[in-house]
Amino acid sequence: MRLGRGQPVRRTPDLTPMVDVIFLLIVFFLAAARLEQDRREPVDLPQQSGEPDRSRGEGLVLTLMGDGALRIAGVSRDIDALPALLAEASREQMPSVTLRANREVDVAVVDRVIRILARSGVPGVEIAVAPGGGS
Amino acid sequence: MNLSRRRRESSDAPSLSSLIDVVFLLLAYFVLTAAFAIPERSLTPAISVDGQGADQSSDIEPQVIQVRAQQGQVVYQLGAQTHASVKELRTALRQLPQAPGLVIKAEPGTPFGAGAAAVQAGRDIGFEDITWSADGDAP
Repeated sequence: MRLGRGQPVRRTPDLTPMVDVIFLLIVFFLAAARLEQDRREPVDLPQQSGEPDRSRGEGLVLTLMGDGALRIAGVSRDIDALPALLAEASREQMPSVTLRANREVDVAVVDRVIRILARSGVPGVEIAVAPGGGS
Repeated sequence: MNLSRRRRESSDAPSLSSLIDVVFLLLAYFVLTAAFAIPERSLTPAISVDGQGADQSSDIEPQVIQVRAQQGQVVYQLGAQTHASVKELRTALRQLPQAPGLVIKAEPGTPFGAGAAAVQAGRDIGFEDITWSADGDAP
């Protein structure tokens, strides 16, 4: 019998698992990109080159909208409630504070927030800026 | 002999190349059309309330930039000099010593972006110690 020595049968590799993995990767990257985008509220930030964001949005992120409204983690808050919130957040350690303010908002509103922060013992803020502008 | 049958089966296996092509095309389409978030950057000034808590440890007075609105235009006042643009402000800052630091005071009525531009100008020139000073008289 010469069956065993016959012409070898070409077997194409099964690519189904690879295709599955590629689909999973697509879904993962699309979902991750979407989440990263949604995490921060859209604000017209001052257009400056700035420095790399050191806190990467960790700590306390205060968003001042164009109408002067304060939003924290997507929820509207009264600026007067900020001292109590800071006291709560700084029980163990003063968190880093990132200020994301609309570039057209009146400085009076920003100063109001900064006064509260300074009086609560926050030494400095990270002012969020959008690269691509300047001067 | 079953050889011929086996060979026919293996050659009839559907080719997955077209499927992979479509998958890659879909991948390219989604990557190109997705609006990715632009990474934000930051400016990191110290903060103080005007007349309270400013660093008084040094005898050297810091340079003060006052951001104010004049006839509907934002101007930057540095000492007795008034500068109509950030470019002019940068030129003036280059002449000053950096060791005493820089204090930014923006008047109510000016847009926040103008104050941020002053902080950026100081950083660009090389001032390490920049403080945003909020008006202490306001409530």
